[in-house]
Amino acid sequence: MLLKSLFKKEESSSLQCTHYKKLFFLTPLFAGVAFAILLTSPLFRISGISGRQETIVHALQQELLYGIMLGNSRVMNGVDTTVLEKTLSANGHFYNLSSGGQTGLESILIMDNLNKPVSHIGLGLSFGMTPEEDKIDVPENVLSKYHLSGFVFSEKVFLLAQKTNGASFISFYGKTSFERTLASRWFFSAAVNDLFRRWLRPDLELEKGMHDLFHPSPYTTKLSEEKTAILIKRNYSSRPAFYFYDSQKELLRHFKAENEKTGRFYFVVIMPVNPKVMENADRASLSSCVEQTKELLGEKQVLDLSGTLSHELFIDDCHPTRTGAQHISRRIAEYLKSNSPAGGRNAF
Amino acid sequence: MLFNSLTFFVFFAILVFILSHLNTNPSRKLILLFASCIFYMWWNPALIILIIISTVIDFVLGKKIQSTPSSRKIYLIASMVSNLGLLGLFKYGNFFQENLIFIMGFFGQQPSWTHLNIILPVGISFYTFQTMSYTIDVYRGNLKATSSVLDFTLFVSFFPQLVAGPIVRAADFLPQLDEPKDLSFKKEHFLIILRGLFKKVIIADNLGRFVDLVFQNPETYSSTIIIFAVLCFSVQIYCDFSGYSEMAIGLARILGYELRANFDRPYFSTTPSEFWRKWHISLSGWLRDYLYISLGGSKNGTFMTYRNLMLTMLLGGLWHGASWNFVLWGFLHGAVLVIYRPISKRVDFERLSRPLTLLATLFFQVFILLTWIAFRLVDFGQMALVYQKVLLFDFNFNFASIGLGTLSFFTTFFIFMLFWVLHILSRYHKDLCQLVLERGPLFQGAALFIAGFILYFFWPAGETPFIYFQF
Repeated sequence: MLLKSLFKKEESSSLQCTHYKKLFFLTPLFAGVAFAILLTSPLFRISGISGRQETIVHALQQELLYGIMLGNSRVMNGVDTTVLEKTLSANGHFYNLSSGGQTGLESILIMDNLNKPVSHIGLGLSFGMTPEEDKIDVPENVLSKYHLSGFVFSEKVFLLAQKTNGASFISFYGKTSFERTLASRWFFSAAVNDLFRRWLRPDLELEKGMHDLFHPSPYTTKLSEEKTAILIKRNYSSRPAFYFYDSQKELLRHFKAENEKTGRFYFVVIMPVNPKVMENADRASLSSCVEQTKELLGEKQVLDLSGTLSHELFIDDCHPTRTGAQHISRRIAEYLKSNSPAGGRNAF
Repeated sequence: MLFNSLTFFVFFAILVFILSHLNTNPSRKLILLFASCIFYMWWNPALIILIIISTVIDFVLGKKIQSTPSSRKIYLIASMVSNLGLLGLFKYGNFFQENLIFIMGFFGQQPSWTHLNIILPVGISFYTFQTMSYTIDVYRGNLKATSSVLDFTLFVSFFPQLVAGPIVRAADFLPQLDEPKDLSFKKEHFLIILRGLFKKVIIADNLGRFVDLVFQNPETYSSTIIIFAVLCFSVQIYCDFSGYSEMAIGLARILGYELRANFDRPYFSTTPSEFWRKWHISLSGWLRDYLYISLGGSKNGTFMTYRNLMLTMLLGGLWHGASWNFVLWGFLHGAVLVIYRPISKRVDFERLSRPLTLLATLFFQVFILLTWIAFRLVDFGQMALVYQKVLLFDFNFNFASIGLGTLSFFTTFFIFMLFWVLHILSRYHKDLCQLVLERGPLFQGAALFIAGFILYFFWPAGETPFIYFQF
């Protein structure tokens, strides 16, 4: 009965199916999307969001580079390379090419894109604070901004990402250029965000963080003790421990091998930890991580500054102040003077 | 399969294409049923069994209720027991078990059974309420039992409203299946879908990133930020759910069917009864008609009326999720309904002057905001802390603790303001879809072009399920 009725033509059927032309009404909607896609790349390039990446790309085109420092916002705030240049009397520039949230994989990506000889290369290292994050799962937006800034993902970086469980990176790498552009649309909301941030956070020197090649420290206003305590409570467990992730080890092995191959002097600076964080921390875990780093790279290649700054020399829970940065930079300069084969002079 | 996914877009396009080539009503209904099954099975194919069980039981019992008047009460009870049994087992099984273990632990007992981890089938609260309303309506004589299995199955499983409502009444939907329905490509339907999509992906999902960030560790944020997060959550949940409902209504209209509106700008309500006439209309209507009235409504004196209101809201709260915070949320709404009832008899809120209406609205909406805290936070410790921060304001207006690396906050502010501008415009000037439809093609084209532009740039990466899927 049911089957019969299925194939029976409706006698008084008003069923219509010829209204497709009404769908043309939606054309501007899709045109809006298409236009936005076309605008993604050029808008990205002129927006302030790409500023830091563009700055790094241009820095790598310089004629004479004495050295570079790589790392995250702790290195941005904590290393003033003008101090290094002055103390070492370098005749080429020593740039701080760190950026906010820069992962080890991103540092390697920048290193792989060095197309001019550099005699010294330093990496600011901070150990992990949670046990489960033993992987590099680079968010797509991090890589898309590098993609649009002109970095080339080398096969070496790809293989390294595979070894260090960079799942997002691998899926991103396999995408077409068009798909990567689509994934980069995040920058627009980031630009809106930036606009508001400039208005609401006058304490941040965002321009410096975008364009300064020597000391791109965006954090300038020291937080109150109360706020720092809140940040420590939020960002660290009640008894923080330090973890040297397998992925970090893999990246450092690559860092060592590549630099030994090219004959650059490489070094790793273990960045200072706020004594307030250390108050309840598992000190043995930090010592163990430092020892493992030295075992991996060699004693001479590691500068351990983990316990060198007092709490007053931190802006907040982890970023050094200007004075703190000068202190760190002087220590790096002293280290380079006594350990670099060039004895602190230009290696070129 | 989410409405805001490419998979659904392809699924719907194929469905429309197939339907447009079928000339008979039964064949179209059969294809719609088949599509509804695919839509549901996309999450978990095995759980379609529950819909089939619920459908078969209520179809058979509906016919029995009608054909055997002497035993109709027994059949109705059988329908209630089976539907509530399914709901109780799958939705409240884990909750009951956890509470039992807690009580046993209180008396020093350790249970020896293995902890059951029962899956919560998507949409179970919605389709069981639909099938229950059918048998109750047949029992009350408000509806004739249908003799078509196809129609009844499609009523239960019609995919636009299957997993998150609106809860459709058989009396509204079954008659629509009797007549052949034309596919309808009116501009209005697409604009409703677009508005729903905009609410979900642009407003709700973007605000959700900030709300989640704050409510993960509320103890570390100041009162200002917590209050802003609560305000954002109120907008997020409204846009998430009303966005889904609007997409469901628009999709159903394209297929030729009409679903009732589920929201009517509830944040402009001045009283709790008005709020519940405008928020999740299909659920509040269901609770009124099948629970509140069944309990006696307001017929048996003041005390019984208050008891019925409270019971209805407590169960309504529990409907939202198997957790005590939802019971508390229901209790708060029940309490305010009880408090407002005698006041509403003396004060005609609908005839207040404009300033007084504004004042009454603000006063009531502050209460609604406070209830959203109970809705959002499952952990009572965190909930108490958030209430403390909201009620004992710390006068800390510094946003610095949100940090440099947090990308969501400032965009959140922009999107929050955008919502309120559009919402106020639609309330006091004209509905946004109407506004676009009444203008010329140039304005319409420009509006759609801008909508496409915004959708592309502000559509967050990854798919975020609708909040009401968990209910």
